[in-house]
Amino acid sequence: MIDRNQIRNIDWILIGLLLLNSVIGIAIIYSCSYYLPGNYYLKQIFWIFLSLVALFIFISIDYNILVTYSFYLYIVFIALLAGILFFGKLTAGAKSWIKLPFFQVQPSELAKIVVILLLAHVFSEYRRNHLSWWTGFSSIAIIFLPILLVALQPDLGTALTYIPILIASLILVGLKRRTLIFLLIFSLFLSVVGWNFFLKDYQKQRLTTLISPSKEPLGSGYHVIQSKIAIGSGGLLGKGYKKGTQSQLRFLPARHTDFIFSVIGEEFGFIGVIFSLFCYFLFLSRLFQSAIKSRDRAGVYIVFMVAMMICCQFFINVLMTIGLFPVAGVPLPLLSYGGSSLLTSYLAVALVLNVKMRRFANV
Amino acid sequence: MRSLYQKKVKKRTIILVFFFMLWICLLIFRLTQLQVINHSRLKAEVVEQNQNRYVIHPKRGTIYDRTGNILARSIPRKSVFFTPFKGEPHKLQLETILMLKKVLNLSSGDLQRIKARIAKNDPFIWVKRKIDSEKADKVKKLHLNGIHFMEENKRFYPQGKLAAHILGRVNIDDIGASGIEYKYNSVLEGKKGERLILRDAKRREYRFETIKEPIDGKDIILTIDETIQYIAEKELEKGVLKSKADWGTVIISHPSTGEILAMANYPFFNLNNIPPSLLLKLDRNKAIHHLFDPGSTFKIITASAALESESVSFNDSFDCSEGAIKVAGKAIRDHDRFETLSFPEVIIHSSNVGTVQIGQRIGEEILFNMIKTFGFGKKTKIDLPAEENGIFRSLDEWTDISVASHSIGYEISVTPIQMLQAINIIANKGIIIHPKIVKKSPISSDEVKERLPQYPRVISEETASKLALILQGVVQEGTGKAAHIEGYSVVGKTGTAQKYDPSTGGYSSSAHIASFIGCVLGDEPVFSMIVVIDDPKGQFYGGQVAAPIFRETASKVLRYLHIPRQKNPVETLITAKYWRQTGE
Repeated sequence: MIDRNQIRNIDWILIGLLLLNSVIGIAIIYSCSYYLPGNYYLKQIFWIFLSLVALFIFISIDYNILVTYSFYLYIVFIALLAGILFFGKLTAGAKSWIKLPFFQVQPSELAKIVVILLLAHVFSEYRRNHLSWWTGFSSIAIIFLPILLVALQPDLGTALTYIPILIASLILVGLKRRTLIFLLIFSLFLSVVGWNFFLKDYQKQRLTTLISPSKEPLGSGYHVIQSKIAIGSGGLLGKGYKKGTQSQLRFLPARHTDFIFSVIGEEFGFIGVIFSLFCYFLFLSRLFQSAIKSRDRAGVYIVFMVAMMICCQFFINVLMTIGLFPVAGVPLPLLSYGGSSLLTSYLAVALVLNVKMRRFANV
Repeated sequence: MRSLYQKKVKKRTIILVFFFMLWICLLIFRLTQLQVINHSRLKAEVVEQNQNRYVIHPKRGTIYDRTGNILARSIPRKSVFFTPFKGEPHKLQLETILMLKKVLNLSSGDLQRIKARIAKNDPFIWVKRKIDSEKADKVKKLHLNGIHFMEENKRFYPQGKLAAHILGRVNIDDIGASGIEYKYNSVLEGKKGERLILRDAKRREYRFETIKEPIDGKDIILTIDETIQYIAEKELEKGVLKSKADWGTVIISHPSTGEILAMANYPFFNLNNIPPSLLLKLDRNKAIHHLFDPGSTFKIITASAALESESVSFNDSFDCSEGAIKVAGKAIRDHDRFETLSFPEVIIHSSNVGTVQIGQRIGEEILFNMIKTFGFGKKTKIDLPAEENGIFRSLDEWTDISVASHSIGYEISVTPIQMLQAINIIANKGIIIHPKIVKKSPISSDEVKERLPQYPRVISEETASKLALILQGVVQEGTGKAAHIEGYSVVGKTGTAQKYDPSTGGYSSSAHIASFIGCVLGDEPVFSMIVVIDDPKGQFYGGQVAAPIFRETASKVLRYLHIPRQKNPVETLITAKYWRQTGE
């Protein structure tokens, strides 16, 4: 299935950038969990190896096969997500984990890969210039079923990260003006309904505190204020590795997961932040560049959706830490501590590599 | 077809990337804003969140009496304070305080104060200061957020009310507010240290660093003798209660050194528990503060001037048979009817008529100068705060009646300590030695030298011994008989002055200040004493009210000091009659 030609076409630069960002992540996790019990950085290294193995397994399977069977995979994951709602145990206020003998995974993260595959499957068959009603509805349905199930866990942050995938596919397929207007009205309707029926009080507060965080500095504004203090106090050059007072003294919440960017800001300052942003930018632009280098539509869709997914998640996270986006509980892909998120990112990148290495085959 | 599609994809990707670039610009703009422009403000917020500087209180010096007994000391106590978490709702903060209400016995006043502070967003609020360790442990067990302890010292006076007016008090911040505590505050207080405390997000202290070590205050030894002070207070209280007087003062000193052995003011107060309403009233040390017209005790100065200027000799006689003398149209009366009296007899029987005649013979200039050299009108410079100068008019302010008034102790206001200094001049054979109350104080030696000059002479030794004889006569056979102590040679002078009544602008006929100044003499003067009793009811003469207090106090002090009885004290006595009869 995999031949020498394909191995030669593996985008090693992309893998290099992937690992570079992962290593940055480990370094920061090591620093900010230095005084915490439990070797977070070792666990993260373990997850990186595991994900890397998964990545190489994943690229050995032709993505077309994955796309072909994507519907069945989708069914499996929907069943998992539904099952977790009934049989899962509450962890940190949400039922989002499947406990395995040695570790636990969040199917809500991995399900994104499946959604990408299924959407690629739907749109690869579609050759018109504009979206038809049927395709439009089915793609929205495909994506909103898992969103609904994840939102019910409740894990709104993760649910939110599904939306860029849909947006990416709609950008590619092209929308008629009235479809665009319809979608805008629909999303407006959805947000009104969501605000009144689905958003929990703490989530509503997060939105309001975005506008005025100091109004409630110990409540929902606490994260943002502490994050801004941490980043701002880092200044131009930062306080030095492992010397960030806000992170080490636990003023900064979720510093090794959602707020890892604030730790970079505090310990390495403006210079360090720009450097890490640059590394990430190289990685993201490599992803987007790959979009046009696939041999078929399914490949284009896959690469584009993966790039969009990671990119949006990155922006949401960073904007959240500097107080420009509500605290949504979205991890920074590759950098934040967390196995499922890491594995998902690696598998997503594996899809891109998969598409890229097979672009000259079967033409 | 494919290349067309790829073009489309490329175009859209470029637009998208451009769109993301805008976001990146926004991101960098925001980061610049946070990390460069607002850096110092946010950095300051970090410091505010996790650093606190606290004062380490030094131990305040101990105050001892001359025998080494502790009169005032500091004991370590814990003070509870509250550091509200910035931004926490005030209601929640108040709830924390309310949890302490029972344990700490917080009054509604305390709660009001704390509430006001919380409303002002004060970062540091005292809850209750200087509590005992049991209560502190109870508070600790509650593990309340933002409640912390500081080591402080509480001033404790083991003898309670003893020598309260001398010692004075400290305020809640351990700063002297009166008495020795105030005067020697800089010596006693020591130097404050500083401690840096770092806290984590849960406000747990994780690092202490002493930036500056505190330096403990120095000790002070007073010239006071605890036992003599006790005796003086006891007898003064008895005397004041007996005569239903308003208040009274007793000072005992050692003439040749000027050291104060006791200084008592009645009513007393307990330094460990001062009723706040009476604070300012009770706190005044009348012994150095109260001004009064001395009356007859001042005749000592008139007699000194007479003898020193040789205007009068011992056998000069004065006609006192009228019982009154008119000066500038005003009559000055005697308390009793006398005949013609010799100079010593005038003093011994305290005849106003006689003394006025003596004063007139001396003349105003000599009298004025003598009063001045005796140290009236200026402070004795005793090392206590708030001493008064007294009121002594300059010569050009004197009127026709001034010589007469001054010679019998009116028109002039003195403090008890000034009168004691005057009797000490007689006891020290004419030398003036200023009173002092701190025995060993760590003042520079230069300052000590400045304070104890070469003992200026006020009157000649001869004048002083002549006066001593006369004053012995006062106790033996004159107005001061009640001060006589069997077996000891006592000199003294009584005084009964009409109080100045501010409502009428003149002297009251019903309110008096009774006083007695005296000294127990041996080969060396043993101790001198002044007793002042304000507004005694019933009997009001100094000889009736103050002299007995002198006797009771002095005899007990003599017993305490183990001063043996003199073999033949009467031997030295030459009575007034003798001089008159022999004409010597």
